[in-house]
Amino acid sequence: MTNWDLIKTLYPFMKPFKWQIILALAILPLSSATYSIQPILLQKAIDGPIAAFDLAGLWTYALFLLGAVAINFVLQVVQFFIMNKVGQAMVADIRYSLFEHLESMSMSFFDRNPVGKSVSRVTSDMEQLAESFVGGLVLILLDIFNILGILLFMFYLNWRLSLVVSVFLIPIYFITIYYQELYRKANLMARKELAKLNSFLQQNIVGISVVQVLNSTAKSMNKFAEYNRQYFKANDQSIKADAQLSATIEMVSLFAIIALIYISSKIFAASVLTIGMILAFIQYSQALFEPIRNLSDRFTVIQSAFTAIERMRELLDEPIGIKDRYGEEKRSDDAATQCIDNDSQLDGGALRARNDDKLIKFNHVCFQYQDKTPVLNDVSFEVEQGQKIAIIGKTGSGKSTVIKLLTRLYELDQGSIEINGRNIKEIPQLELREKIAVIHQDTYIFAGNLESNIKLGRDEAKLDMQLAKRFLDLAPGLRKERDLLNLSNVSSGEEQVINFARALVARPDILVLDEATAKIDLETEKAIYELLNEYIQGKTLITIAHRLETIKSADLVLELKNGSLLKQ
Amino acid sequence: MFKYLLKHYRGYLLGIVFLIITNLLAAYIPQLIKKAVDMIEVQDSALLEVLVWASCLAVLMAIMRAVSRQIVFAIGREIEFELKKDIFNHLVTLPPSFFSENSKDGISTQAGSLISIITNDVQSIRALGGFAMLNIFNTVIAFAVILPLMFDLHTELTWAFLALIPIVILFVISLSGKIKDYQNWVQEELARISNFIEQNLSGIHIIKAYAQEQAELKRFSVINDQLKQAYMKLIQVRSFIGPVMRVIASLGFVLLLYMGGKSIIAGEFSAGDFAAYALYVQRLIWPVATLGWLITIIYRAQVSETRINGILQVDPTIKDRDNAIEKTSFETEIEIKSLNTKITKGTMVGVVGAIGSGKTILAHKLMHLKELADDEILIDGIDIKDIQLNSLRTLVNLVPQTNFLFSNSVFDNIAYAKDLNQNEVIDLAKKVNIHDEIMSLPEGYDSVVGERGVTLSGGQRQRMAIARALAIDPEILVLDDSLSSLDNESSKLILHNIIGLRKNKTTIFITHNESILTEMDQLIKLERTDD
Repeated sequence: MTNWDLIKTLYPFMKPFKWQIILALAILPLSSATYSIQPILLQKAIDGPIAAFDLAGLWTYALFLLGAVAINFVLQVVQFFIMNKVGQAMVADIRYSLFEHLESMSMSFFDRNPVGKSVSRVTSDMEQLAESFVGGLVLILLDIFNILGILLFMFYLNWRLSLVVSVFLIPIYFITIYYQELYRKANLMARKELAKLNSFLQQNIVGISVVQVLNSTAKSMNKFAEYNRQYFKANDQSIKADAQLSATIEMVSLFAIIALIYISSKIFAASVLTIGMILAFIQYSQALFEPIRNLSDRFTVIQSAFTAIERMRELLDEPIGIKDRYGEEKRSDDAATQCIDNDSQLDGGALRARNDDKLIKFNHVCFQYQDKTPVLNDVSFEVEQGQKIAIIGKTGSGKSTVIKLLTRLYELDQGSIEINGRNIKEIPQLELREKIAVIHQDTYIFAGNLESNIKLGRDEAKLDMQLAKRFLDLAPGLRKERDLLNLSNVSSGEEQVINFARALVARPDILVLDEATAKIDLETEKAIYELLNEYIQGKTLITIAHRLETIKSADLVLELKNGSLLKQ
Repeated sequence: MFKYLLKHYRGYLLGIVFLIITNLLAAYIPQLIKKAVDMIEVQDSALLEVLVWASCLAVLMAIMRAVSRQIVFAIGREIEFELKKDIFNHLVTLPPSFFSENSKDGISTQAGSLISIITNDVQSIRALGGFAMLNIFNTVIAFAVILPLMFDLHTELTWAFLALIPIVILFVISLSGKIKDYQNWVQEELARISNFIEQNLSGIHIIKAYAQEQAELKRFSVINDQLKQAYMKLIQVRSFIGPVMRVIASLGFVLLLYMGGKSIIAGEFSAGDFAAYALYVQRLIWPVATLGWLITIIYRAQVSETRINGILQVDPTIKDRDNAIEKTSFETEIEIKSLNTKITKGTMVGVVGAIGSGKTILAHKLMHLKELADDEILIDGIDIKDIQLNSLRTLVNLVPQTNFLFSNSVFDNIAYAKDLNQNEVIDLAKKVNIHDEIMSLPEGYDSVVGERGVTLSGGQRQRMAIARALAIDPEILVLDDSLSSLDNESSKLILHNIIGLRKNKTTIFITHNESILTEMDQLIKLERTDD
């Protein structure tokens, strides 16, 4: 992908700021002109009033110069202000798009992509982009305009001397290219080492308790020191390239002045060359090399902008794994409202079975995860409204996968799943997951208080907080957590109780328990089931369990072995 | 933070030496130029000689400049290296409770924030130790070398030029308070947004299960907006700094033109003097212009320093006592005074209790991962707080509930805490009944698991974690609900393998599973203490 393509990726994000960008671009030639005219004013003053001993004339030129300086200052402030603002506003929009896209990814994306990587896509990469968008793209334009402005005024002043100075642009160009390449390579290497270091860091911080439990802190320290050392070493080359480049360019600009003086001395007598001109050219040669030297810095900056854009594009190009079908989505929305309307009249929210369709129907479902280990193989079964189902099987036999497919966290490879005769692919995900609540054994407690952990952004009007509270009361330890701003010290058993409250607060029609009480003691478990039985009357319950009692009380037992259904 | 800078005083001194040479050359070359320009008017034939000499010095100056930059930038990198090392080494000694609390003394201890401190904040200290130090030295030296020469050329003009400097300083100081505040605000918002995303993605299975993506987007939008606001404020102030620094240099030229021109008219100043003076002003442009940058870097470093110190100053509450002893063997019994219980060497003990009754806390106390009272737990009559952490944690080990696996191969995960050969790893995998499943993975024992690897089920991760702990083969092993994700058949099989492996050693099972409890020699029941 060329750099130009990458810039084009930003185009839709730039669009809302079209006018600001146009304004900032319109200022560019003006600010370059007020900058590059300054040596000419110097020359005019020296060769004019100064040579003529005209003090009043000198005043005028000094005022002109001051005016140019002042206008240039104002234009620059305005320009920086606009571009920085646009840069940050644009990046905020991109961050939102990235996060929105992340949220629309299916679970298989999260299986493949570590959390840390996605976090840095939205945070540090975007930081980089905001900084380098302004520090790179915009300043490059400014430098280019300055170079053009200076060349223009220089040739206007004296084309012969301009040629002398311009000749030096050639070595500068090649030196810059050479060091840039060196720097780019070195930087790439350093970035790779940094990525390794950061990934190790991330793991060891997230898994710190395991590191300590395994008494491996010393080992981790050594390993970290090793990665840290490698990163440090990888930076050596880039430091060298950077230091040598700026020193070399400073040297070449001195050479240019020296050559300028030498050539001037040769043509001084023969031409109309004045002392003011020589001084102006010394100024110009400095002023010309400054933006060129900057350009090389800017290119390294912009390189990181391109990296950030490339990564951003990579993420945005990731296809949305599971989409609500367009058009069909609309239809099913209508169907949904209809359904709710009818339901409220008929049986208060329970899923109404249409015709004689089964509530849940698995038709020859096949599925494998990204890593190609087949998990489900031709699984078919039917569940009727109000049934109690038990799914049993050894670990790794695909029990949890059945549930993940039912709630469409993953898209199945073959076959179909229907709910009330509707293919789940045609049911909006929100509707589907409001109907089916799954209580997994693994949960996650978000920063925030108990209430926000139960509600999770759902509309409070639709929630039965009373029911949730009855579940929470089963874990007396949570009582002291109730008023805390942030939950802490929640035991894994308590987490599972929170999990129940979280699921049941929305009064789902189909409830799935996936080892939901594995970490809860028998007494509390009994109390939970009593509450649950009260709630579940007439609703459908699917349980994944090893315990005999659940299996005994089930209407239907599904046994999975290596991804195939054994018996019903 | 000075400690880290001061440590490298030798390197800095060397850098200063090279900078002095660079600046002396930088001051001398304009003298030659001045000579040359004056020679043009009189067509002096020695001109070429002067110019060749100037060229040679220009080469030498470039070398000196490059070396000085390399030296000082490298110090910045070294400081980064040392800081990262120190922070990491400190973090791993902090007790798990530090990480489970959401914040400590106003500093967030969530993984996202800690990582941001080790990366971003350390980076701003690096900028201070490298870039900022180089430029501070360079500015001071450049002024010290060039100012006398400028005075020599034109006293009044130089005073006028110097009068501009306090304007810069006053200007920067007047903005500095705001910059610092806004910088701080931006850092806080950055940490907030990373923590939010980190949490959102870590709990994505819950968010998906309840279709909460839209609600999360709304929350994100608010946080994202706050970050933007913070940046906008910072930009408002920062947009002035660059142009102001540049305008000072340009004003220098206005002064030069007016006052220098006047002196030429008065016949006190030659064209060569004018050219040399112009070059000097140019020399000082960069040092003056960087003042603004330096100040922002220093402020950012100050903000970062507070955050880094916040971490470094957290006392690892759990550490070896001065007189801690090494204990390499377990002879008789563990006494848990708070429970009035003893556990004899070589027994299998079941721990049960309602949720929230402190089973996991007990496990953590046994390894002294959590604070406990004096003489609360004694091993062979010795308070475990008197035992060196390293030897205690070799003696006692735990399979924690969170089956965290590292993004390494299956092999490396099992052999994580102890170097094992291939047969030993396979043997352990067979004991926990996972060998066949590992072999069915795409690359067998070389398959990468964890965050960056293949997806393992909860039960698979549990068995890996058991194998990892069995590899250490400690005298006392605690399994915290470690068979909960397994079906009855495999949990029974693994239980029997564990019992077989751990003859004469002590094993404590925290579990509700009755089929496990029936195999135990002793039961400990914890009661909930409602405080």
